[in-house]
Amino acid sequence: MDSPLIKLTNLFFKYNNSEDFALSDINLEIRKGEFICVTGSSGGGKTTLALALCGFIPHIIEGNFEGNVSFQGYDTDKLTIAEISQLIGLVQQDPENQLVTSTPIEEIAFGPENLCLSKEEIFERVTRSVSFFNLDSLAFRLINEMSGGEKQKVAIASILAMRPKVLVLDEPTAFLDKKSTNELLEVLKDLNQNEGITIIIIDHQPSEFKKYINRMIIVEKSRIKADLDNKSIDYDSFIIPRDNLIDIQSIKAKTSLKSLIRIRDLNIVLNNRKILKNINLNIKPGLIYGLIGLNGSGKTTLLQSILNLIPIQKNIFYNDQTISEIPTYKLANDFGLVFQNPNHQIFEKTLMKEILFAPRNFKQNLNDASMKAEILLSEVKLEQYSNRTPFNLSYGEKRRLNICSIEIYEPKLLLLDEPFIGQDSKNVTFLLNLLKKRKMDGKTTIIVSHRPELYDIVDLFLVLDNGKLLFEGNPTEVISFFQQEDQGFFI
Amino acid sequence: MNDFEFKSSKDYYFKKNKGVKTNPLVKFIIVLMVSLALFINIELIKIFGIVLVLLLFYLVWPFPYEIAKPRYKMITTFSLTIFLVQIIFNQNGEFLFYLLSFKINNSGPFLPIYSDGVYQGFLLMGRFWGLISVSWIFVNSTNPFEFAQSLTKIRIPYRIAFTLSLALRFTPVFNNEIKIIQNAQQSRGLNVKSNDIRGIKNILQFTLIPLIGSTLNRILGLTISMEGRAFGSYNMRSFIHDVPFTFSDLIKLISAITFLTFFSLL
Repeated sequence: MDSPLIKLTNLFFKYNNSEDFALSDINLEIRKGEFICVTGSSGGGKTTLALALCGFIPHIIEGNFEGNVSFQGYDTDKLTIAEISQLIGLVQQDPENQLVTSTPIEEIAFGPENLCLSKEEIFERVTRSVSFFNLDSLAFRLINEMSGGEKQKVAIASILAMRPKVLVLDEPTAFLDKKSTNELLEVLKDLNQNEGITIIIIDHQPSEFKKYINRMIIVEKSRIKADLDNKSIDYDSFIIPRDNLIDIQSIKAKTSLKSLIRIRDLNIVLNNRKILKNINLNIKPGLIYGLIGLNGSGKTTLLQSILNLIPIQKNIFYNDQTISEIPTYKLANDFGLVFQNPNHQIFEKTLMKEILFAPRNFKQNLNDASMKAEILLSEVKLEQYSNRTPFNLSYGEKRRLNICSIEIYEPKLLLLDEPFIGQDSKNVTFLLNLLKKRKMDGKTTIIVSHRPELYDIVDLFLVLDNGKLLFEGNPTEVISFFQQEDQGFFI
Repeated sequence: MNDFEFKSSKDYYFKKNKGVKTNPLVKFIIVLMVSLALFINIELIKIFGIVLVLLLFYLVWPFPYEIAKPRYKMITTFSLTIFLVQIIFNQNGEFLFYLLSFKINNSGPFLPIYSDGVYQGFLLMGRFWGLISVSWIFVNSTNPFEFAQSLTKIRIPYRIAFTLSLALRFTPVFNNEIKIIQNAQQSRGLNVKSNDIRGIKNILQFTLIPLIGSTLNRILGLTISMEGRAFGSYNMRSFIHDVPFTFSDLIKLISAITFLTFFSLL
């Protein structure tokens, strides 16, 4: 058997600002050619494990580090990060945090340039990475103007240009649509099988990678709970039971003929690009909507326009009043929006204050709101952090906090932009319960997501394609429409 | 031809920069020359002449990057404040008039205005507008990383040069983040209207925490991203292409130096 590329022995790690160990007694060997999925509960230590595997712990991130990490037999303290980076590369969870330069081509060349390679070698590596991800048409675009999915591809391509032997990807498909996810997985398979690169994917949905992986590591509460080969993996245990989903769909919606929101001829132009084109839509009360479409199709822009967050004309109507005439902070009493990036929507110093932020602005009874906040925090398993700073929470925990901060005042319309990112199946259950309760109360929800579970949850789909409303219908109609149009990649 | 294909390093450079063909270092020297001219000249007509040319150029010329969007309202308010401070507190020169010419009981008129105060007010306002406009033109027409690369040609260590380019690269990102944070605040019922005193108070009170949180998070992410790709590990760094210094750059540089020198001496 080959000697391991990376070996973790009796590893313990605790962040400087934390009381608990993020990694405890980790023993792990990573070998050439493996395709591994690291999964487990949200906040359980998966991302910390990735940082240790890549040498960032203890080289960059300080804390209480015990045990040993070795790369091809060399201890981590005998190597520099530059040396480790040529063996293993990390694609971070949020591509926004990874991209350093202005254009994809600069970004991909950045690593090879740092290695002082010749122009020819850099160009060869850039060309190869570009072709792997079909980034030809994006190569010269400004990164600031690209969608989340496009940025994710650039981030992976830029790590690939370092020619690592091991590639670690933290929730790589979180921001990708189905088409891009499939493309990415095929590229990873190609890298694994033809180039011999070891792939380690950190994700809450291992079933999505069923076809590709040959080993699964389950991390729970800072420890490795299981290290399984392909034959021993029970994928069903990671899938949300379909009954739980259909349960929501089967609730009879308390809807009415009168629309909650009417959108007429909505056109949105941002930075000289037409993002939304001639949208006509009636949002009915009491329904759960799924807003789907490829990356960059205008989904987030549509949500923002409903909350009057971007300049709109008199195209959107709520209670027979044009939304452009109602300031967002007043509309917010009835409409709540959970944004994609959790860090942008945390304003207070403790979790409790954060949840009470909106009730305080709406001058609601704070005693009642505090009681409700405690229940919500316990439902999302964050009650123990109630008086701690929210900034030390994991990505998934922050997103749960964001949802609680909106749901505390139970808006008539809840807009959720990619709510499933960073959530394990238990926390998805919290979201499902929330959707169920909202539907029973006759409240409307619009969910932007690429997750297949959406087909068993929503009442109506809105399909956006290149800024246009391509189709509107129930899940069965949408599936049949896609089959007719040969656009199976949406499903 | 495929979008990604190009024949030479120079071809690549021009394609990437969408036709902007001036070497970043040449642009930077011209910016320094213009700034110097704004400080050397003391004639208002020359100062405002430079400002007018810069503003017209800024408004008419298409720029490939949009790093700093002009905030006319803020700039106008700030320059008017400079002007008012000068005309009220600078009491040198010839007396011109009273700003408040009425009398209350037996006191007044108030706020005498002197010629030197008015002149200094206009001079400082002109210099401020000139510096701001020339900076807009530079940052919105320059790729931050090519600027860093051209600085390394004059032996500035690449770690320092890249710090500057990262600041330019992330200016629009931080502007955008502030906008997103304020959107998130509004969508949770907080009034952040900048034309309202309560709105301004809320912006100051609640924007800092998420901005610090998101900035610290971004700094950690960027450190991992850069060091994880060997940034700073070697004393030297290679580049995928050269930033060419062309004959046209030389002509532009000589023309700018000659024009600004004669203009200042006239």
